[in-house]
This record gives sequence, structure tokens and C-alpha cells, in this order.
Amino acid sequence: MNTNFDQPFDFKVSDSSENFDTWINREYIPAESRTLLRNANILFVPHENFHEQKVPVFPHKTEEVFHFLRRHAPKGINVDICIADDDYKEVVLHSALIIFGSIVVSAIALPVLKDLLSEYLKQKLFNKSNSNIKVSLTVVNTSGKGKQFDYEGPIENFDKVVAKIQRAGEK
Amino acid sequence: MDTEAIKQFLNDVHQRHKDYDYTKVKSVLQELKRGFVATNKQDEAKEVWCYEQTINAQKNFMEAYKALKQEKFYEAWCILEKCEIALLYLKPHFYQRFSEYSLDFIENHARMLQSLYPYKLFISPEMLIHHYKCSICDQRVVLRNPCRHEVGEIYNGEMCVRIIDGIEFLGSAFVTNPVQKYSVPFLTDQQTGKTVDPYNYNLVKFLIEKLSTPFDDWSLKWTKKLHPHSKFKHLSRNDKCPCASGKKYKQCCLNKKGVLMDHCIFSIPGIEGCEERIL
Repeated sequence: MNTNFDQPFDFKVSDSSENFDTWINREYIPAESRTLLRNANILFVPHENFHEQKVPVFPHKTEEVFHFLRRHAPKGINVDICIADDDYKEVVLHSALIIFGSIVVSAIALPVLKDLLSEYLKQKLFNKSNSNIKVSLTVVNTSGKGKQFDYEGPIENFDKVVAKIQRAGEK
Repeated sequence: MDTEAIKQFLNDVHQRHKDYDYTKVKSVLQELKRGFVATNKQDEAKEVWCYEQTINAQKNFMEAYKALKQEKFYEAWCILEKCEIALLYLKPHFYQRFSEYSLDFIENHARMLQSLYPYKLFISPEMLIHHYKCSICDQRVVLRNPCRHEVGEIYNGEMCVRIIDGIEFLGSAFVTNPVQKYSVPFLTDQQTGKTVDPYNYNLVKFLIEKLSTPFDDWSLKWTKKLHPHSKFKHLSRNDKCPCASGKKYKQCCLNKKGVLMDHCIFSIPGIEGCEERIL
């Protein structure tokens, strides 16, 4: 698994029962927000039941990454977040890991998401080469089926990992 | 003192390492920034901010060196952390000029100094953040209706950061790679209540004794070296393996040719064959 990469990392692929609809129809999403969220092709989703928390939470700096993606997304790419504005909460964890959190993305928007996240790492963190990142991507194909890709490892592998995800998503 | 004089002053950092009083330069910069902000010269105000951060990095690096010379190891550790943070903020805005003000030297050498410390475990909190405010406009951050300020960018000569407005402490944990490295665990003497420092600073001491200035161009290389079992005769089979794997000696290196340990090779100007292993 790790032979094409310089540093060790975790990369898992699994089938997912989640897609845009399953997230948008969560009970904590107000009915009036659902129509807007249906336009998303990149959707940040929360952790549910995180450490016995009763409310859904997002990893630290999700708001920052979300705004960066919104500002830089090209026309036709709609970035949104699966929570009402007033219910947004962040959890700050212990380690210096850069956590992009969980993102649901349509297969067609995946290359754009990769470029946007890479640009964020370059501009905001100046590719802190000694840092690790953690991201969970659920890639949804045109028939609404989702596949989940979890990556935790060095920043420098990120582009190669997304290329791997793209290839796996095409199969 | 004009901008050119300030640049020259910052550029000459390695020549005035014994006298690093930045008070005058700082007040000149503050005055300059006030003027630029008043006339909405954003680029110029940003440049002043970059010089202020450069000062923070240079000053902290020299203060860390001074603390190390006085064997105030934890104090030096905290100052190096401040130095690292100043460089982290500055780098995206000032990368092209890092070598001009010895900032690349400071970045590399601060990192190498940190790697010599025995601190491997830190205490880190877990928190739930309810709301944020923008440090520039003081507005509450709203997901779908944010203010125009971007975190990390410079406005009116100040960096935009998030101010936490509502926080809940959830717990703490021991971690090896913390967000901030200040929280080093120490022991407490049960009888006197005083803090006890149980760490072995031999590697840092070994280096710092040989340096004459903070800008001596030393370097180091981490490798592995095999040590014969005869060196560890004082250990029993059930003791922890000296390779620091955390396993028992008998379940780790005892069945191998020797004990593979981290090994540090220093290169210090004017000193030949300078090497030391982790003790």
C-alpha cells in the first residue's frame, strides 16, 4: 500500500451509505436550509456523537477552510456546510494535525476540491512540510452512490492520495 | 531612523547579538505604521507588520540562546516556541526575504535546537468553541455571512485572527505532537511542593557549551547507531529496552545483534569529530 510514498500514512477506502441527500435530511438541518444545500457539490459535514457531544461538531478551523474554499471556488462549484449558522460549533483537539474534516463531494467536483485544498495548504500554512493532515472524503457518483476515503499522513502525499481517490472513483 | 535604516538594522542581526535592544526600532515602526494606517497605505502598513514580526523572531532566538547559556532550559524552550510562531505567521507574507534578515537561519536552527530537547510528551486541552469574533472588526463570525477579513491576512498593519467568544473545556490528554508545545509535564516534590525537572538536557548542554554566538553556523544529523549489549549489562531482561521502543528489553532488541539507538552527529565550526549519542 505504501510503496509509492516516501512517508508512512493511513489510507482507507470503504463503501458509504452516505451521500448529499442523507446529510441534507438530518433532523438538525432546518427545512428552509435544505433547498440551498441541495445545490452543493462540495459539502462539509459534521462529526455526530463526538465524545458524547449531543450536538454535531466540526474540527477546529473548518470555518476558515470553508470560507477559503467559498472565496476561491470557480463558477459552477457550490461549497456549503451541513449545519445552520447558529448551530455551528468547533472542537479543538490535542495534536497539531491539520484536520480538513469530513467532506462530501461529487465525483465531478473532486479535482476542483483537490486544487482548492492544495492551494489552502500552500497559501495559509505554507506547506508546513513536517505536518500531517487528516481528511475524510465521501465521493458521490452520478447515481448517488458514495465511497469513503480516509487519509491521515504527511502533507506531501496529499496530491498523490487524491489522484489515487480519483482513479478509484472512476472504477 | 527611516525604513532603509531599519532594514539595515534587521539585516545586521548576527553582528549585534550581544545588544539586541529593539526598543527604538519598535517605536519608530509603530509611528510609521500609525501614519500609513491614517492615510490608508495598506501595503506599507503590512510591510511594517512584517518588520515587527522579524524583530519578534530575531529577539526570541537570541533570548533563547541566552537562556540556554544560563541553563534555563524550559524557559529557552518556551521562547523558541514563540520564535517558531512568529516565523509561522510571517512566512506566507515574507518568504522571498527570509534569507535577508537571517530568518531562514533562525527557522532551521530553532527547529534543530528543539529536536535536541528531551521533551517527548505534552499536555494538551480539548475544547468546544461556541463562537468566534474577528480580531479586525470585532464582529461575530457567521458562517454564511462573514465579514470581509480573512484569517492570516494583514489589515491596518495587524494580522487577522479569530478571537474565541464562548468556550467549553472538555478534557486534556498527553500527546506527542501538540498544537502548542508550552505544556511540558514536570514533577512536584511531595514534601516541598516545588517543581522538579526530571529531564536530561545533556544533548542541548553539549552543543550550547561549544557555541560562541547564537549565529554560529552549526548543524546536526540524526542517524541510528548499533550499540553492543555489553553496554547495557546493568539492565535486566524485563527492563524497558534502551532503544526507547517502550517494549521490554527481552521482547525487543535483546534478541538482535545489538541495540539500535538514535544518534546525533554535530558539525560545529572549528570543532573536529563532534558527535554525541542520546543518553
